[in-house]
Amino acid sequence: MKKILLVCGSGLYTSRALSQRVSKALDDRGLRGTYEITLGKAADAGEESGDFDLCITTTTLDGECACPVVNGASFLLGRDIRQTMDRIVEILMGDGENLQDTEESPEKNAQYSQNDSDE
Amino acid sequence: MEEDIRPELFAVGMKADCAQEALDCLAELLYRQGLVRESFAEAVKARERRYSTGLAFPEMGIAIPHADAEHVIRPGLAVGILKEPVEFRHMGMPEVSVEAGLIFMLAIRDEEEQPEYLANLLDVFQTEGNLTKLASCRSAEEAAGCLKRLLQTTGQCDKGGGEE
Repeated sequence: MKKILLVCGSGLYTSRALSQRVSKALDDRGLRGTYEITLGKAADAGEESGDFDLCITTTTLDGECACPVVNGASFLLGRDIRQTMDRIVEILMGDGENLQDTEESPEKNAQYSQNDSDE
Repeated sequence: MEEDIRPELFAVGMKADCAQEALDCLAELLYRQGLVRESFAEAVKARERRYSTGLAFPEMGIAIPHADAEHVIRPGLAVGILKEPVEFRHMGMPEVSVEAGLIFMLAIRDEEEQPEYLANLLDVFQTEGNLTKLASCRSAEEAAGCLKRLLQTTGQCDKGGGEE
């Protein structure tokens, strides 16, 4: 199970509003059931990051992060999501699995589906 | 949602020289409606300095300022439609300037009790044409009605239904 920390300034609004979008994008890439998302605030991200595989943030982080960090602005703006997702998938699948660049639609990405537990 | 999005929380044709002034004006609306504590205005400005909330959508720049839950009494939303845009900094990219023509000030108490319409706002923003539609409203009544309709349409899309 890959652990994702999703943070915004206060951990109240933006991270929560984005959580569903990030989940949907991960599921569209066939990663359903392989990850869990925890919401948090930017100020705590550095401290908590040691427990996570990836931190997606909508804001600048205060301290050093122990895990890779991806800017989640594209989910807010609804733009360039593919590039952001490429990076996220690359990090999550980092050790071993070799995911090809996914040019096309989510339907096409469904072929990568490998773990379809319903939740 | 009906009672949450009401004309009293809209400032249409708002004149502000800078973001701070616009933030004060909207915080005052929330305060007058009893949604936030007196400390909210300062808190929201301080937070904006630290974590900027400008968002550069292709059709228009906006900002979604908010503050920590302790300054909020009840969840809600105040909307400013500015006569001339004011400068905010982009969320997550403070080096990027955003000319915001619309400001959505969020009063959020707790993630558990966050109303659905606040979460749906992002869908409204991301659908092209919506921000322009809202910005062209001439009165608080019209703007409140417009945002309600946009939120309803968005909600219906999510459920796969819709009118017509």
